[in-house]
Amino acid sequence: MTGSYESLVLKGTRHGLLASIREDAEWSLLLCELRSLSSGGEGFLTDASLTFDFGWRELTENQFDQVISALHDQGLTCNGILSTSLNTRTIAEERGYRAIIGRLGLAKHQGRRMRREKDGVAELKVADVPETVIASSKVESPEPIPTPQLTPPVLEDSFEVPSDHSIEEVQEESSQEAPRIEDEEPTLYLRKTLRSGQKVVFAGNVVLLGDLNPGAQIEADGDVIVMGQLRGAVHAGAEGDRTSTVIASSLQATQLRIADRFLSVDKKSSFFKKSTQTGTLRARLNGDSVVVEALR
Amino acid sequence: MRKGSNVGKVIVVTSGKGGVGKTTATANIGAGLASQGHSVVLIDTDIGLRNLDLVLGLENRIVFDLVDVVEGKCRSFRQALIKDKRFDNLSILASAQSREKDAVKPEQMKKLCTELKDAFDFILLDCPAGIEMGFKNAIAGADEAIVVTNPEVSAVRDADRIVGLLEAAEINSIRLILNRVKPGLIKRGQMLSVSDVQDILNIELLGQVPEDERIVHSSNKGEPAILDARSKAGMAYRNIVARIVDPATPMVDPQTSIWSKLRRVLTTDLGAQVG
Repeated sequence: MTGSYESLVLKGTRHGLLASIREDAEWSLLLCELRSLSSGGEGFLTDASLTFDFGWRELTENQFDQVISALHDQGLTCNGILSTSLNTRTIAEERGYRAIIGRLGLAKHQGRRMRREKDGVAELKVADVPETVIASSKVESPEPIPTPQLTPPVLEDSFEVPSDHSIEEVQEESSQEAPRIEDEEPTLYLRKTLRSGQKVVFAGNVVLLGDLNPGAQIEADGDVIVMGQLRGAVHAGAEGDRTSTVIASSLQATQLRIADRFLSVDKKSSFFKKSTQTGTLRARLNGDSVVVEALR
Repeated sequence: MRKGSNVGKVIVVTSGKGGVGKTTATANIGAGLASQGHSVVLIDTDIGLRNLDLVLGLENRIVFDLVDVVEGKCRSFRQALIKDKRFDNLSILASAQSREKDAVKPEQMKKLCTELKDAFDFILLDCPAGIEMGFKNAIAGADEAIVVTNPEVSAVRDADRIVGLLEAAEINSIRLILNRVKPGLIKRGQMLSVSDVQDILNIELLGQVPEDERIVHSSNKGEPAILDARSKAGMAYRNIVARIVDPATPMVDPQTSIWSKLRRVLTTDLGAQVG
């Protein structure tokens, strides 16, 4: 395999192969490249199972079937998909594939931020391999991808965030017009209550218009803003960005993590008392400690 | 057999956590609806741990069970339905005691619920604890859900998880029964109050049932508390049943004593006279 495609980025992870589809790629080009996956070079892509990140792209039933049959013809299979589009996820689910809300955005921001392995968290890890192995026309060192270990990614039940159409609409808007915050980090809008057991992992900022209930989790590479009661666990700057902040209109988090530091919140602590009294609070890193301050 | 002209409603009674009173709630709501003349069928979906029949005192009448029905061992579901001793229009479909949860598939439950909808006004499904196969079976055919919880942190946390799963399954009508409420403890700040629970779950409150020692006795006897005129819990369930039939029915707060009620009646009457 030559390792360079125009329309997608292939990436070996600890859990299998991830194919990030470029959101602006021509469909015909994408199909053409998908059909040549196994014939691209050394042909290690035989019998492989791929997880697709379709990002914002809306797939029709026909398009989804085209992808699957393109894989089939080469003896490849699909493990599941990541997509921010409800329609696309529904199409995949109807055909028996796992579908997860979200986008990793690797096809646009290749290797900018890599997910580091975290202990005990079973989730789709996309960057257990060094940056240089990303197969893409834009990466300077086109080294061949080492044979990935083809254990299927663990697509956890708690990973899924059921959403309704209204959320989708907001997401569509943000994909087209919303100004990108700082270095073009994507922002995920969620208008719902995240309940116990639900977890959102996103390579970007997360804005939640609703409550984060105890037992629910948000893990974002950028900032986390909760316009509602923040009672669950939040990890901002999960990739190590120490400038990330957490802002909530009512901050009562059970655990607050920013980059590699965390603040476990005791209900008796002054932080908790303060946060229940004052309004919108922001948590940020000051040196090595998490500080919480009123946001004016 | 049916009272209403519309298709029946399938309501799943669920909680996540065990021991919060799902079966008791199912039995009482079922008996209450039947006493008002609706045709009701209760399905125990807790395969392997059946006890809805015990609470209604119908254990000795079980011939066929839920698994027999879905496996086609009896001619139709009608053959497996056990008629209640007190109400002709109340029947139950017992679960199998000697099988596992995976003996039934969600599609089979869905099909059964669709068949039952044509024959009954209300189909109540008593869901097993947990979020595994049994839960998935129970919610497969449901149109609405009643989440039962207790004013305890653990029960509320599990209920929150359940509500999330119900929403994901696109069951849009989800209502809450807060069971085992102890007004005294709430007053002293030692128990989560109704508003504390509502603050987290944020779903419509169907009713609250006070802790009642009589309910233990009535369950053991196989007599639903709702038929006991002196039972506080029974009173709460009568209100819940009224609110299921007509959502506009005001909710009775069991915490209000007879004196505060009397005072309210007097003051509003006086106020009306003065005004």
